[in-house]
Amino acid sequence: MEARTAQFKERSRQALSDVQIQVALNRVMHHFDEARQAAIQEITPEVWEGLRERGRLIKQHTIANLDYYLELLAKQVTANGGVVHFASTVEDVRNIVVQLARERNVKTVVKSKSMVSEEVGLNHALEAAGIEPVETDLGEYIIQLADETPFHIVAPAMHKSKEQVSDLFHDKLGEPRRYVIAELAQTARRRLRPKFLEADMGISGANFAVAETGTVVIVTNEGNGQLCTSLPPIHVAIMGMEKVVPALEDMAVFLRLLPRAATGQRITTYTTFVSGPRRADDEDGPEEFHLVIVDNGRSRLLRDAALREALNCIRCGACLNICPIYRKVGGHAYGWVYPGPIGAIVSPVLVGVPHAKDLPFASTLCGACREVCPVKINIPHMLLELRGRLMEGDRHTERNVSPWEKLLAQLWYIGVRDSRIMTVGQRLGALLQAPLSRNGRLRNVNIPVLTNWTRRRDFPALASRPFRERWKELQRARHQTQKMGEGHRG
Amino acid sequence: MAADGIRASLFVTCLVDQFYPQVGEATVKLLRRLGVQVDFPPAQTCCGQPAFNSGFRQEARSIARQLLKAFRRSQFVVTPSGSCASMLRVFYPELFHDDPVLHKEAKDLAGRTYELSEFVTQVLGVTDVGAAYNGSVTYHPSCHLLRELGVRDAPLELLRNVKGLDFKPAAGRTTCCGFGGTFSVKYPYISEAMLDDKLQEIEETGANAVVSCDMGCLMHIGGGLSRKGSPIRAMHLAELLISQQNEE
Amino acid sequence: MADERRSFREPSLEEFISAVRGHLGIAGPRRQPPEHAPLQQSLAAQQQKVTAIQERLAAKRGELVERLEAKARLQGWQVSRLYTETDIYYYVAELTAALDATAVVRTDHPVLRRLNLEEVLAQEGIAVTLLADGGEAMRYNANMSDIGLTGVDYAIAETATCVLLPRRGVSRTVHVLPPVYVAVVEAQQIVETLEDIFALRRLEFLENGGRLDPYMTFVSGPSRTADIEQTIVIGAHGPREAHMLILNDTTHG
Repeated sequence: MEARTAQFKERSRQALSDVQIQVALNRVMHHFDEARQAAIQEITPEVWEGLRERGRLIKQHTIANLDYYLELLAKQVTANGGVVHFASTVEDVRNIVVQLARERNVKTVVKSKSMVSEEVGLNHALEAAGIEPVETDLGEYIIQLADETPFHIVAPAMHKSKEQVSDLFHDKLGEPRRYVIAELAQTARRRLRPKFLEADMGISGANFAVAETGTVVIVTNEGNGQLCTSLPPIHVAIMGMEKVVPALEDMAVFLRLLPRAATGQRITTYTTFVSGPRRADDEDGPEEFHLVIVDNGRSRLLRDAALREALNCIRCGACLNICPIYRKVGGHAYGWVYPGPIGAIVSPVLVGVPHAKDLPFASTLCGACREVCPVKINIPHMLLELRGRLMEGDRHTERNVSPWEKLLAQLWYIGVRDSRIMTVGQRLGALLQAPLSRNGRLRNVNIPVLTNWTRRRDFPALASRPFRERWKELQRARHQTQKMGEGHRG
Repeated sequence: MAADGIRASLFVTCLVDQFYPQVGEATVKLLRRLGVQVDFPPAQTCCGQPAFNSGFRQEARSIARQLLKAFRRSQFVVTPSGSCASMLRVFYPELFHDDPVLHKEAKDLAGRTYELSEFVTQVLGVTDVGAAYNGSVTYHPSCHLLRELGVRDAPLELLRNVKGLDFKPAAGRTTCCGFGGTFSVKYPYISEAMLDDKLQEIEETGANAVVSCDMGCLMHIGGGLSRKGSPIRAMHLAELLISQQNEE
Repeated sequence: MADERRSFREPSLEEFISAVRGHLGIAGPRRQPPEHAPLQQSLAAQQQKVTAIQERLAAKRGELVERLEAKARLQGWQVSRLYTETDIYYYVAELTAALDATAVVRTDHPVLRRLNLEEVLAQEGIAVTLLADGGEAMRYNANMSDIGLTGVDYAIAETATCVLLPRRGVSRTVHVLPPVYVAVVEAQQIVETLEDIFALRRLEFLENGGRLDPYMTFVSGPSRTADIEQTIVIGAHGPREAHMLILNDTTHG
């Protein structure tokens, strides 16, 4: 997907004044969190915390031994009769899938959700090769018809009203306008059923890939995950390389964490476990199973001790749901596949940190994301790390600081480095502010940066006598009190 | 007295020093009332968080070195700011992670540093400071206090024991007010949108004052309240805890 | 569009894994597999584990049925407890009458094989077809049926899940193509937790020389979506109704 991460400021402002987006965000966001909390209550917070720690440890262990587990996964899938492909770049993924599709004379592809396929713009590559990709997850289907990018990693079309979806189905599919959600879902079922039946290839993502048994695990509610992996003669699963999990028995932990964190469900309607193509005497199933294991910049996170933990992510979206910034601006503002707190780390590293300079800064570091993350990723600390790299540069990242920002930092430093200089600065400031201040507040100021504050908020005037001056009086008062004797109770 | 013999150095913070000195005064008065001997190392200026949060770690380190020096001999360092306390406790050791000597000093300072409400309840063991306030109050937990330091209950315990105070809890889950330091001026539109939500939440409690342990949050919340002409007062916890008579 | 059949070479396994090692700062292939307890359990250990699980399950049979029933309702299943296999005929007959349905597809799970559904229900005007022998016709049948009927291979009480292992006689589509799904669960097929099912499957894997069945489905209720305005709609690409019949029949052990 083309990265528009450099346009965060503009796009976030647009989102703030887009009525429909604000309506959608206000309607939806607290539901996610309420559902998540209810699901946690059902098993108790103590059990949940235990699961989070186990999930974190398993992921940490896996990433530290990623070479071993990817090799084991590949070996197992191959032994199961599947074909494993490795893709380092965007081009690799596109080439592998398109070439395979061409070789098999694929005309139509049905897709169940794959964020990695969004990263590499796979649909466009297929279309360019004369192949029709059909998204079957309702949210993905909607945004495919609308030619938009996903707004949220779990609910890609949550920004759309039922009226907008009805109009879309009318304009693009010739359907009569039906402003009833259940009927819209029915329309999608009716239109997509023939596609499932006639498709030559099914493409899916992978929520997890168990190395021990060579099993791809796909978590869905709609049934499209089942159909994409059962009906077409070829199934291609595309996975980010960090999705590997060591053991089959580890899946108990992750299947308890993911649905609850994502949608507040105890479990999703369907959990699909694919370990290879059909056997000869199976009644049905694809004859070919291909697994595409993708890097696409994940190795940059892997080799980076400070950011490696971001690879623990199981793409639940809980951090988006709780983030007060995401709740105001939504997913499109972030400009790429992964929005919200985890996106603020992953998107810059995958698209190039200098192109996504705003993302690590567009956060108050409130830490709510870390609290809800099912695998305990310390997102705020990683955002701080990225900020440091952008302003100062290091072996991973080229510095991208404007002279203006650097100047401000240096002025600040000069101002606070010495308490005497600070005092002089304070006296000067108190004097200069006099014409602008009323009742101890500054309202209309024409100082850059400060104007960003005073648009909607009063700014306090500098105190005429700072604390350090008052300290002497406090000391004097203290001695007087002491002289008054022990009778004075504290 | 429980606090006999305890000496605490006040880290007043640049924000309080320059803009809200009355909060510093209230802090000193409160601590003294509880029997603490307070001193004020004059070399202190800023903890460096504005630079650190903006990515200027070099400048942050330079200032941090000074602060380490200024408080080297303090038995306790008490600060009326959750974010500054977390800077010292959580981030100073990280800032100096590859300098063994300074890292050790930072960890040592971290072990002696407390935000005001946790100092009163945990170190002094006091939950009733003998304050009285005739009014209704709601509490805004600042994010660093809550999530970096894990201080959730201390301010609430102190508030609940203020005589005459009508405590009005905010409904729903705790959310960031939208200050975030330089975030408030780098992304002002988002900051303002978050402020609107926070102000609505405060107004809905029906309280006539909002109390917090961080002047950054209060500057932002208070600035929004006063621009709206709202009668709701924004106060630091220390100011509330030294009040002894019925007010307003 | 210009044909971009330029020669392109995928990274090989060796190249890719060796690059990953480089990123981790590891010089060459590992001499030992990493320590991870779930991977280190031997076949004998796994057998012992499973024996213990089966003993626990046998001791709790009644409780597991209750729990499965309760959870299934929460998950949106329509649950009924049946006490003899012949109750299945009645249930299916009543259901088809209520739905005005005429065509049922089924799998060849043992519990269904023992019944004579085709003959008995034909008398009610209901066509029951065992979905087998592949091909277009089978796909067409599944798609045009009103009800999909399966037994299960396991059921999980913790999550109200029916576990299906496609094989000869068990198509992948019976539970998902028709708009209504009926699952017949026998009490002795119920396991308690997710750990149980994965322990059992791991034993299968080890006993098969390190090979797992190519496909396994967990079905935990009717299909659903909330993709529009986060409003839940029951019935998406899969069935809109999911019926769980829990059979406590002891006549077939």
